[in-house]
Amino acid sequence: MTTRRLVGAAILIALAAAPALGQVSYSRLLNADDEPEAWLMYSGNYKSERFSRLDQINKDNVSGLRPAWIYQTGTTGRVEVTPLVADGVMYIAEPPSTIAALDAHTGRRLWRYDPLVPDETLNIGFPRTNRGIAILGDTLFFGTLDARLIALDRTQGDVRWITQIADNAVGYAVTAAPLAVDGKVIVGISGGEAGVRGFLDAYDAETGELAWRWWSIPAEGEPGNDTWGGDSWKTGGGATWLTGSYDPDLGLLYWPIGNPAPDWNGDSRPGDNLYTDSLVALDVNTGEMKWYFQYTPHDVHDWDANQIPVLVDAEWEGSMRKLVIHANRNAFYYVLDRETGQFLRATQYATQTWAERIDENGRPVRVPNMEPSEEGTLVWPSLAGSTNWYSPAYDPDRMSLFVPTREMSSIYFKSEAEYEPGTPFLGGGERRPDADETYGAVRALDALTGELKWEFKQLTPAVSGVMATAGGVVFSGTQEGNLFALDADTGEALWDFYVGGGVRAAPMSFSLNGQQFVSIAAGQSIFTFAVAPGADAGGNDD
Amino acid sequence: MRTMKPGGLALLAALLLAAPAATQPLADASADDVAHGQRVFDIHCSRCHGLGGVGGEGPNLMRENLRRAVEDDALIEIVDDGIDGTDMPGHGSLNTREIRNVAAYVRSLGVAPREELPGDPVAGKELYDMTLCSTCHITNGEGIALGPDLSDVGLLRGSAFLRESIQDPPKVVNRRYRTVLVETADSRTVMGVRTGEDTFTLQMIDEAGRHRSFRKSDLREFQLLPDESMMMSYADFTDAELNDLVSYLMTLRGPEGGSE
Repeated sequence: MTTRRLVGAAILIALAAAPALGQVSYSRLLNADDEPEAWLMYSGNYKSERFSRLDQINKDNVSGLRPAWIYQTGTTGRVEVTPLVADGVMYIAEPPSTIAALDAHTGRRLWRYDPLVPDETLNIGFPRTNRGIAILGDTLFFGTLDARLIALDRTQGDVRWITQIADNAVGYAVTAAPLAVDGKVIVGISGGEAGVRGFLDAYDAETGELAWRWWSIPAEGEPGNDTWGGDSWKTGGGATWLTGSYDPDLGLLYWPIGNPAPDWNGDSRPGDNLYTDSLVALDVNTGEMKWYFQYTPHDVHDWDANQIPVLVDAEWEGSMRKLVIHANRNAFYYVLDRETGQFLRATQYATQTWAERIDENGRPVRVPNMEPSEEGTLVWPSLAGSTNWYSPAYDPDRMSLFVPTREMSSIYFKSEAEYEPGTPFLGGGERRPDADETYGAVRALDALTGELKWEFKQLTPAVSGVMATAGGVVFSGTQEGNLFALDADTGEALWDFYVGGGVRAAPMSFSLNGQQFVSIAAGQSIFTFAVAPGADAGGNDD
Repeated sequence: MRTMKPGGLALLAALLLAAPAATQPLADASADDVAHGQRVFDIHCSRCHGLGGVGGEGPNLMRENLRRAVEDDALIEIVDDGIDGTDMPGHGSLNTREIRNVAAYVRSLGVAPREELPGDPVAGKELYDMTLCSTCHITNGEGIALGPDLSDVGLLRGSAFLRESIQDPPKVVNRRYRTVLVETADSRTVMGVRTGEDTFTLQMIDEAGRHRSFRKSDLREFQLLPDESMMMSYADFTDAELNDLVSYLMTLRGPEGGSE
C-alpha cells in the first residue's frame, strides 16, 4: 500500500512538473523545418511553404501508399481543415467549429470540444466550417463561426479562455486558422459578403486580451479613406479570412485582404477601395502597416486576394532578396520584395480576359467593358477565380510553386445592392456558361518568373490545396473525390485513391517512429496514408 | 399554463407583426414586383424555361400545379437553390428581392391553354414502337435505359425542343448523356454513354447495355464525341411523322397521367 501510494505521488509530481505533452514553444514554431515529424501550423511553417521535409515517401514507393486509418467526423458539413500534429497527437476541426484530438497512430479520438455554435449563426458567403487551429505552448487556438476565439488546453480540451472578437449578427465569423507567434495569436475574420468592415486582430496568448487591431479599410481622416465614396468604407468588406505568413527577422506579418463589398456592383464605392484585394505587411508587435500592394483595384468580380502568400529568399537580378510570391485569384502570379512591397514581376498563369497587362507598377491595365452588367458579361476567370484559398505548395529545392488552378469563365451579373446588417450585400453574381471546356490543374510555376514548368490536368476546376515534399512528390485532390500524388519534376501522376467525397482541403505530412504519413480531409472524414512496411525504403527489390 | 400565456401572446404578436413581408402569398405580389420578376426571369430563366415560361429545354411553367413547388416557400427555395439531381441550377446571383419577384412572376403565369399540336398521338405511339425508341428509352417502365427516361417528357420539355431533339440530336443532346469512345490498350474500341467520370477513371454503359469501368491510364485513347450522339438522327421523318411523334411524346406526363 505504502509503496503504491508513493509511486502514485511520484507520478503526480512528475505530471505537475512537466506537461504530459511537450510544450510547443515559440522556438519550435520558428524552427518547424527542423521538426518535419510534426506539422505545427496551418501552412507548415511561417513562410507558408506547405513543404514537408520528410522524404521517406518518394517517387519510387508512393505507388504503394495505402490507408493507415480513417477518422469519420460523423457530421454532414464540409471538413476543410488542415490537421496539426504534435508529439503523436493530431488536432482537427470539424464543422462548424468543433475541435477534436486524435491519436495520430490509429486515428482514434482522444477528446472533442464543441463550442455549441447556435443554429441561427450567420455564414454569409462561406460554408459553416473551420479550416484550422494554431498551437503555442500547451494551448490550441481556434475561431468559431459565431466569431469567438477560444484557447483550449491540448491535453484534454479544457477551456483556458474565450474572447468574443466580433458580432456575428452583422456577419462576422471565423473560419481561418489563427497564426501563433511569440506570445500572440493572430486571427482574421470572414464576412465580406455581408458588408462587414474587415480587420486583423492580435490577442495575448496567455490572457485572450486584444493586443492590437488593424482595420483593413481606413477610417475617415486616415490615408486611403479617399479611395472610397461617401460612407461606403463602413460596409466595404476587406475580410481577412485566410491565414497569412510571417517573417520573424523582419517582424512582419503578410496578410492577404478580401474583396470590397458589395461584390459585383461598385457604383457606391468609386475609387481603388484600399486595402481590399491587397497584400499588407504589418508590424507583428503593433499592427502598424509597413506597406501594401493592391492586386485588383476597384474589384467588381469578387477576386479577393485571400490566397496564401509564400515567403522566398532568392537571388533576384544578382543579389539576394527577401521575396513574397502570390498566385492571385485574378489569374496573375506576382513577385514582390517583402521588405518594401516593391512590385517586381507579374506573369499570367491562367486564362483571363479582363486585363491587357500588368503595368510596371503592378497595376492592371484593364480591358474595357468587362464589368458585370444586368444582362450578363462573360469574363475569365470565373467568380471563384483562377485559384482561391486552396493552398499552393512551394518546393525550395526546385524553386517551384505548385498552384491549384481553375480554368473557367463566368457570366457576371450586376444588380442593385442595399446594405442591411446581417444579410448578403452582393449586387449581382455569376452564372456558369454552358461549356465543357472548364477544367482544373496543378500547375508548377517557376517561382522567379512565374513561367509554367508543367501542369497536371484535372477533370474539374481545383478546390483542393497542394503539398510538396522532400521526397519529390506533390499531393493534392479533386472535387470528384480523388487524392493523387505527382512527380514534382514532371507532373506525372504516380498514385491515386478514390475517397468517395470531394476534397476541399490541403494535405499535410508527419511521421511517427520513423514512418511517414500523409493526411488530408475529404468528404466528412480525415484520411491518413502510409507506405506499407516492406513496400518502403525505395522499393527496388521487387 | 398561466405563466406560459403571456409569452405565448408575445410570440403571437411578434409573429403577426413580422408576418406581412415574410408570408404574403406570392399570388398577392404587386404588379411592379411581378414586372421586375419578369425582367429577371427573361435574363436568367428563359434560356431553359422559354420566354413567358412556355418551356423548352426546361419544363413549361404555365401549369396549374408545379409538382415540386406547390407551396410558395418551395418555389422560392427552388429559385434559390435549384433542384438536386436535375438540370435546374441555383441562381447564383440573385438577391432576396429578385428571388421573390421571380417566384411571384412564375406564380402569375397562369395556365397555358393546352397546346394544339398538329399531329396524331396514336399514330405517334405506333411510330415510337416501330422506330424502336424503347431500345434506348424507358417510357412508363418499359424499354432500355440508355438515354433519358421519357415517362414525363411532356411535362419536362416543350414541343419545339422535342422536335429539334429528334431531328437534330447533337445540337440538343443532354450533357448528362455524352457519348464516349474508348480504345483499350489491346486495340479494342468501346462506344457507350458516359455514366461517370473523374480525373482518373471513366464509367459507361456500352452499346450492349453493360456497365463498363476503365482507368484512363490503361486506355490508348478516349474521347467524348462532341458532334455525334448515341441517338440517331431522324431527319428523314416526314413532317407528318414528326408531328405525330411529338404529339405522342407531349402526352407523356408521368405516372399520374394528366395530373399537372
